[in-house]
Amino acid sequence: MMNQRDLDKQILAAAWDDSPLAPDAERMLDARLGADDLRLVSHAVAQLEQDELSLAWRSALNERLLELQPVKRKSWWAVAWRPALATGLAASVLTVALFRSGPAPSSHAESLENELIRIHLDSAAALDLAGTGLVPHEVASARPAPVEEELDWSSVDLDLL
Amino acid sequence: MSRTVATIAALAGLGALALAQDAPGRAFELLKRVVDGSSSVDYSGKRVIEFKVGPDMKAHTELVLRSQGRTRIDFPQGSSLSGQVIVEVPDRREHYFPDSNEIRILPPRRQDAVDRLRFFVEEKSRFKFDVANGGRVAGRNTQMITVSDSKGNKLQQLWIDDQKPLVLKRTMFDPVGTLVGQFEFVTIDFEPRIPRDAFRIRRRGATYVTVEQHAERLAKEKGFAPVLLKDSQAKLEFAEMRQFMGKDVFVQVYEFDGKRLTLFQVERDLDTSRLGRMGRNVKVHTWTSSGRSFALLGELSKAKLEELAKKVSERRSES
Repeated sequence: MMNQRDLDKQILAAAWDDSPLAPDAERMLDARLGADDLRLVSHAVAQLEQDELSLAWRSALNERLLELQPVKRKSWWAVAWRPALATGLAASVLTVALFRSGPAPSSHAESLENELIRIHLDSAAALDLAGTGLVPHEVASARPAPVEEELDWSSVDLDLL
Repeated sequence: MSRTVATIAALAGLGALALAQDAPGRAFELLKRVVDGSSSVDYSGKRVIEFKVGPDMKAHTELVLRSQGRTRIDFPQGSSLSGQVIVEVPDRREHYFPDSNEIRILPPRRQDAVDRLRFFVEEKSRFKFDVANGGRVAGRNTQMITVSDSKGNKLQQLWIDDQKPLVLKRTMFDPVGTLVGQFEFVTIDFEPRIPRDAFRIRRRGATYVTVEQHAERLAKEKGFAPVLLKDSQAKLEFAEMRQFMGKDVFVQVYEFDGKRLTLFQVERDLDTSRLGRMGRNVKVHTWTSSGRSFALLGELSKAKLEELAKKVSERRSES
């Protein structure tokens, strides 16, 4: 029959090597675990409340630490270079985008639409203004009468009568 | 003595103040007098009329004779318009072109011009009116009316004869205050002697061409679809071919319920969103047909333009 000391050695060795205990040692270990005093201890441990981490407490602590932390002043160069860097980056991106998009699209499309609006507004204004008179396109399209058709009567002819 | 002077000064000041306060009312009454009475004024006169054409201003002179609601316009000898004659009676306008020996039949314009002036009177709450001494125009004393929009942007100025309900001078401005056109009588006679048959054009051998026929002819000459807006309320005022960047733009201007409508036909695609954006209060409807783009512009609702666009088609040949 092995004593307590030998049993402890065998348990340690088995745990170390991850090997099964010898049958004698296993019997003795079962007997020890089944003892009343150990069962009382095990029951007492099981009855203990679960100790959960309080996040509220941790958060309050963090805030308190932040309050106590001395305020770091931004250095002048940090204030200056960050906007400059951002502007520079934006300008670079824009430049690249412009160059990558090739030549600027022709203004022809926009101009034609603009021209149509202008013609509409000018025509309306011209008709308003002219009343019974001529409107611009009638003036522009005017061509003199054919020479052979002209009969140049004048007041001189009347004086001869 | 000093009390008398003070009393007179006070009365004069009060009078001036009353006049100043009543200026919009007086301007409005003057305008109304012209709208109501201009048809009854007989006169002969010479007027110089100037339009903004593209970036430039172009001027021409008209010799106007008016009697009993009828108008005749001739052009001075030596001008490029010499030989053309326009006669307008209440239901008809005839325009003689000597170079083509044509008499073009058009809808009358005068009543429409009066109606558009009447618009200021009927919609007076939308405009601001002011009046001032207009000085002398064509040797006559005038009152000058300024019509502005509700924000005070000047739209038009009209110089109205002190005695007769007639506009002797008129200037018009675009939305940014640029002069877009003006006319001014340089001579006027309110007791004209009217030649016999002055309001009739007789020319043997001349061809009568309606404005619709003229539009179709223009379209065919340039390879455009000879289509017209066929609506009983739409009157074709004129048609013309414009050039833009070496390409033809076929333009038809209609009068519709007192508003102007312009029908465009072009050989390339149109950007509707751009056209809509630039038009301010002008609405637009575009469509394509047989490889051509069409645009109908006017101060009408989009739905109305769309409805009218469906009525753009070829005219049945008349027998």
